[in-house]
Amino acid sequence: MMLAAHDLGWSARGAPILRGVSLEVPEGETLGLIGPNGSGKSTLMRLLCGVLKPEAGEVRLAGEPLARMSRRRAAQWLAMVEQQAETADRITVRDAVELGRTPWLSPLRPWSAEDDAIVAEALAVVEMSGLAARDWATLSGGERQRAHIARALAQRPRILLLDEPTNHLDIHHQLSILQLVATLPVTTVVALHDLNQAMSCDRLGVLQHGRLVALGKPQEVLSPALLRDVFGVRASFLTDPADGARIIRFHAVS
Amino acid sequence: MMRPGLAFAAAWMGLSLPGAWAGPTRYPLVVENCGHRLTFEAAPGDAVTIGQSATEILYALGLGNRMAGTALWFNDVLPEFKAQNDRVPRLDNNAPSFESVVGKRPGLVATQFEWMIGPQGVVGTREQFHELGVPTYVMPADCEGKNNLVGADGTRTAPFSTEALYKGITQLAQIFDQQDQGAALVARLRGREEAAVARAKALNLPDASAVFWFSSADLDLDPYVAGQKGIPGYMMRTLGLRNVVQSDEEWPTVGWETVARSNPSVIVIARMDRRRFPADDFERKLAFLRSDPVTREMEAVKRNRIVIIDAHAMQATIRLVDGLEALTDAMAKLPR
Amino acid sequence: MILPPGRPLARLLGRIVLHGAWIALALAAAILAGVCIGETAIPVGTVWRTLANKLFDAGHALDRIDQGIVWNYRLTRAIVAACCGAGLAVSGVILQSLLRNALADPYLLGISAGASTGAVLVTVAGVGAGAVSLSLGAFGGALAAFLLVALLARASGGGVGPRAAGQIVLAGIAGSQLFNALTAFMITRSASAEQARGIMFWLLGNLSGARWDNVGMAVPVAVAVTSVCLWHARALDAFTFGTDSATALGVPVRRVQALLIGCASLATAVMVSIVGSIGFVGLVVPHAARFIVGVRHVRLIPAAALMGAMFLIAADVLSRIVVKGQVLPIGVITALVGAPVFALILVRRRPAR
Ligand SMILES: Nc1ncnc2c1ncn2[C@@H]1O[C@H](COP(=O)(O)OP(=O)(O)O)[C@@H](O)[C@H]1O
Ligand SMILES: [Mg+2]
Repeated sequence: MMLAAHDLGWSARGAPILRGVSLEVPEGETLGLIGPNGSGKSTLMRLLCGVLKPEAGEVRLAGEPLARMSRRRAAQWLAMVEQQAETADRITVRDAVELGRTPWLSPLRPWSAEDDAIVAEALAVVEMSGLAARDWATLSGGERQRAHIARALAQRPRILLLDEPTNHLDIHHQLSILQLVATLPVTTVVALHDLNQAMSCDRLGVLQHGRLVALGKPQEVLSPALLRDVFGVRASFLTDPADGARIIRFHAVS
Repeated sequence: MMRPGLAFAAAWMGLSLPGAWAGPTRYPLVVENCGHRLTFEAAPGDAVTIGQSATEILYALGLGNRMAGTALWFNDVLPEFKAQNDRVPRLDNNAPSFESVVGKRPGLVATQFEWMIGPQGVVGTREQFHELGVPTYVMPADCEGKNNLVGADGTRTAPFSTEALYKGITQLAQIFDQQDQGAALVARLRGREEAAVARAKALNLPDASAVFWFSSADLDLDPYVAGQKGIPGYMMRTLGLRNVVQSDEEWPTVGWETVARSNPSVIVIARMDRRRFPADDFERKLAFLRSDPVTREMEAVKRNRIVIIDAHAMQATIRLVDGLEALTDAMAKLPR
Repeated sequence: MILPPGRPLARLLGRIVLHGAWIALALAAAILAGVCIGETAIPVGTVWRTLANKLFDAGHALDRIDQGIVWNYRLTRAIVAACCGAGLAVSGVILQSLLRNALADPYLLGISAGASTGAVLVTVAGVGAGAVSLSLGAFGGALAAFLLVALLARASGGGVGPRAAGQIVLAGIAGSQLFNALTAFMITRSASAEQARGIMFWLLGNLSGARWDNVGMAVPVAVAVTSVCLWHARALDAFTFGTDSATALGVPVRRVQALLIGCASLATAVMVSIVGSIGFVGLVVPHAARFIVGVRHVRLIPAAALMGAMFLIAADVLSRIVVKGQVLPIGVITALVGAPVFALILVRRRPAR
């Protein structure tokens, strides 16, 4: 398994936030995490990438316990795009993306032409090449999100963790980012809000009150019963005549 | 430091001065003191003094039995006043509290410094005391020609002169109906001062100069030295010594570079009981002068023309003339 | 990832030598200027000959006082000024970066408050009875205050996470207030205004006591703190988007924070104990340097160190010549010069669009 979580638990000041979460992500898979606000998606992501230390259980990367890896080696494996990450520094987009090279560099392994190429490629992938010299402060929310994704790509990770990456994006960029994620040859865990977008993941995990209540293929997981119990909505399923894909329409529970 | 022979001669000279006997004070007495008008119906009793100088002046006038408390001590009391001092309660070695002073129901509070009782007084303002019917007296040496609201130690607007000290003695003597003793004391001090000045003038030194080093916050740091208008400034001026420090402040900090390059003929260092800074110890001051790579090259250090004077003799006290005499002695040893 | 280290490493070494050379030259020029200008006028020729005598045993005949002033007062003073300026500026860079706070300065963690308390304990309260020097007391106080603040920050749930920086800043404020109150308490309890003044003068910064033994202390500390930070330049960059992001980028955040904040605090405590707390350098110089060379720490740290050194030498020279025959507290000059410069930077730094 590329990424495995075993019986993860975490609590904040005594209040349990996450309990008994176990999951395994094979190489190349895109796993979607869904769940209502506050169900623990971000917390799980932070545990998976080692920003938080689990109180119970452990995370393994290709069989090796994350807790025993150095931060640097972990960051060579894993890149994370946080839900919110802001700065007041006067940096350019390129500066931000170059930060992705941090785990590969050291005082004795300075910046090289290869790093330049990787950064340029990452910028191109998110269609930000033209904005590379722009001041961070002048970017729109969506542009910042794309720059963050480029930074994570510049990290050249084997595993990419994305916490609601499409949040600030317009519909074009939402789709292109998701498409990109799907085509990247990396293992991906992505927290998503839009359940229709979640349909395109290989598998879905559903969090509720800090527990993983379902894990499986999107069609199996997103049943009317689960949508009612977890999200509190009534759902009707439609079929897109263009390609035959299933679409969910939501109604308030009366 | 004080040689009895000379003191006797000065006292005798004092006797022959006109007005040395001034007779009894006539009450009600009105005294102008630092912008305040004080009226006395009779000689006050139960006086409280703040500041060793004011305390010792009252002792010198033989008023120990009329005092109810003292405060703010820097050194031991002069030996000749020990008997009087033993009978007077000491309210505090430092600043006394307002209530401890007022609690004595004093007929007068006399203070050496305005920063004790004055516009920014640590103990209180004069108005606070006057509202309670307690008159206050500030030694003129600290308020006349001096603005205590400017600069850390106050700033003199006019150069100090011993006249201010003599005026304080005379006024206190008048208030307490001890004018004869007051006049005699002033005459004695004045006589010694004049004798010292005459002796210094007679030496006829071409360009003698001096620096007064009081202390330093740390030994290597810029020293506190005497400015032009303060009491050491007066001492140097009257004795014909040039103060190498130009500042008008009371105790400015001046760099050793400036001091060393002005190469004074004499270095005066203060001896004191205080031990707050390492440089308070005159031995440490001496050791610094002799070991610092620059100051040890100074003429005055190489020829050991270093005079040690009691810090109290650098203040407006009855010990000031001791300082004048010690300085004159040092000048007598300078090469012509 | 394949590592072809040969050529980039050689290029890096070349850059270090090149930039190192001109930085050393600029520093030497600034120090020389500091040596030539002083309270009194000493001809440049005398300065040259003194340096020739001392460095190359040239054997010029010189006035011993002039020679002593140049070698033992002015040169030491300029070197110590340079080290303090560099040390404070680099410490400011570290704290501003790690705590993600543009207003952080080296005194934020209670160091200057603790130093004053230590100094006042020694002088006004008479601890050590004249045997312990002002600077030793200040160093002890600075360390005590920093340890207290560090413990407080830890106890209040510091650690990692976006809230940690805030906790450290709050703990620093609490610690500073406590130590300032202690200082005020001791000063008001003491009678003599003269003592309080000695402390105030020293607290505003005073380079007049800088001698060769201080040089022996200040130079290694300044070089060490600058080198350690330069070594961690990339880690510092990684804090751009906060501590979580730094963790995700492979930075061992706790260790780096502890090491660098500890380094900065130790360096600041040493500088404070030598020259008192000179304000504004640690706050303003990092911003000025950022304005000129940008936010990347590889360039920012050397730039801040150089600018801090030159700024403090210049301020020291000014403090000696503004009022003739008297030396102003250098902190007054740094604030008087620093504040308008800072204002200028603020105005010119307006968002581009
Ligand atoms: N450090 C923390 N301290 C206290 N509560 C926290 C902390 N982090 C997260 N939580 C709480 O844990 C719950 C899950 O949060 P999160 O993982 O961000 O949810 P999601 O990303 O699914 O919206 C929320 O109720 C949140 O308030
Ligand atoms: Mg979330």
